[in-house]
Amino acid sequence: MTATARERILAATRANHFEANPLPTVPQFTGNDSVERFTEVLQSIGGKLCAYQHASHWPK
Amino acid sequence: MSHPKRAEIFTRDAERTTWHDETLWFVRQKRDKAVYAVPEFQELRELASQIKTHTLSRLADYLEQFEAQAKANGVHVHWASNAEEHNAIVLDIIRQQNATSIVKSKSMLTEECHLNPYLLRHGVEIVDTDLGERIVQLRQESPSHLVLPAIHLKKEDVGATFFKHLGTAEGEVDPQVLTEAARQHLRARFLAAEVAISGVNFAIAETGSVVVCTNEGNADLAVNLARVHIASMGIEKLIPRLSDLSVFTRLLARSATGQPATTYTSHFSRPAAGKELHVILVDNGRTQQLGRPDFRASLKCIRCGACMNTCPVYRRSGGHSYDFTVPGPIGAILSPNIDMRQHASLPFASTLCGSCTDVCPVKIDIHTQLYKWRQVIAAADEIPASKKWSMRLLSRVLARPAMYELGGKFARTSLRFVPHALTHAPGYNPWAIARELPEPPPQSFREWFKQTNPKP
Ligand code: SF4
Repeated sequence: MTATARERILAATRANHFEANPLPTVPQFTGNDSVERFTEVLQSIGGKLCAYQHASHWPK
Repeated sequence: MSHPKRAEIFTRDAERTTWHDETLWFVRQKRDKAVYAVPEFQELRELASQIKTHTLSRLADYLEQFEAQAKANGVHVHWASNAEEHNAIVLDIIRQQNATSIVKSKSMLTEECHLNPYLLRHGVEIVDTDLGERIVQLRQESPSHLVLPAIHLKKEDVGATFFKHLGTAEGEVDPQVLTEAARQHLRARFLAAEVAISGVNFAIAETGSVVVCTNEGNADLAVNLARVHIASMGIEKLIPRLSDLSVFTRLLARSATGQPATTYTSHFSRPAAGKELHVILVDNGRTQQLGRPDFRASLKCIRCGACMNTCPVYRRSGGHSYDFTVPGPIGAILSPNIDMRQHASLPFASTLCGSCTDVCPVKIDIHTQLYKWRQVIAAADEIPASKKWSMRLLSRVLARPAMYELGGKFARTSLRFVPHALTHAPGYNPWAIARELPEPPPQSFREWFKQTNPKP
């Protein structure tokens, strides 16, 4: 019986498994002030930050 | 045709070459600005590299995990060993749906599989919805860049194409008008689409979902309107966990265009009620590349295009000079794996300056692999005879100091008498087409050194 594409791909992939590093843990990068970064990037692309205490304060 | 021959065609238009070079360098500079603004960028690169290497090291396990999760989500999962199988699966799905209106968003894999011409041969027309892709499709060209498919074209070229195909005014070159014309033209296709095909930027084994990153939102519009969504992906697009995705999305857009993020990062986990979601997992040479320890790191590529924007050869020779779906430095590594004879000149299309390696967000050792491919290609006797024999001669001369000295003396003397027209004849000395040979010095460095530093 001929192998299916699934079987062929999995067999070929498994035959080429190799020793490597374990899966690293992705840390929480909390070093930046995210509001400051957001403002910086927004302005760099031509945006303007408008801060309001509450949605009701938004200009009509 | 070899890379130098095709590059020669591109560089005939000196103005376009300069403009192409400068435009891509501008993108590279935008990338630098975005990268320097992220203090942990190098840490992210290292993480991305480790995640990808780990995934490739046990890819079969992650493929099975992805398949099981996706199926549990109600997704149809298909497997294709090569381009023919992939295309046949797509056609089969289209036929099962009796669909006649098909749209496609950006997918380098479907370009690699030559899906559009295949479907056309079977009577199915497909419309590319990414603006750049649509432009090159109308011109019957292939994309010349991974992220900027029509970067080789000027607005005048686009104006002429739209005049011919979309009925815009003759001579119209205003980008806003042209974009609006494309918008109107594509809107009707989106609304009518029964099947939408998309590429995949990342597939998450843990959740069985696929992630598509675009700036125009065309993929989202298409797949949400159509009854059936077909997502085609190379098997190397897998990442193990959802938490890994944050690493790659932070790297991808910054490396590609200098944006902090792509405008749309869409997750597709399950089909909407009454709709179908198909994912096609494609090998097409990838398992073969996985089996080459020297070159398997090329499978870590996230197709950001940064190596193209920085490459002095790509910038001045254009994407079409590579004659491969993925151009530039990474294409020059991937292409010999598919057909070494056909693409034998590509690993030589590099100065080996290493700039590609420096910018690669997943830390692929691109220039080292280019160098290694050269050795494989030379060992397989796939380099031009003139290069082979001249290199053999040179290695003999360089290995014999006396012969080297004699050759130098001969060259210094003879160059004084050989006419300029002969030393700079394009057919005989292509190096001198845009350069002047230096004045031959009266003596070699060794002779000068001996003379000025006589032994006591
Ligand atoms: S090789 Fe690296 S820099 Fe080049 S496209 Fe791939 S991920 Fe980007």
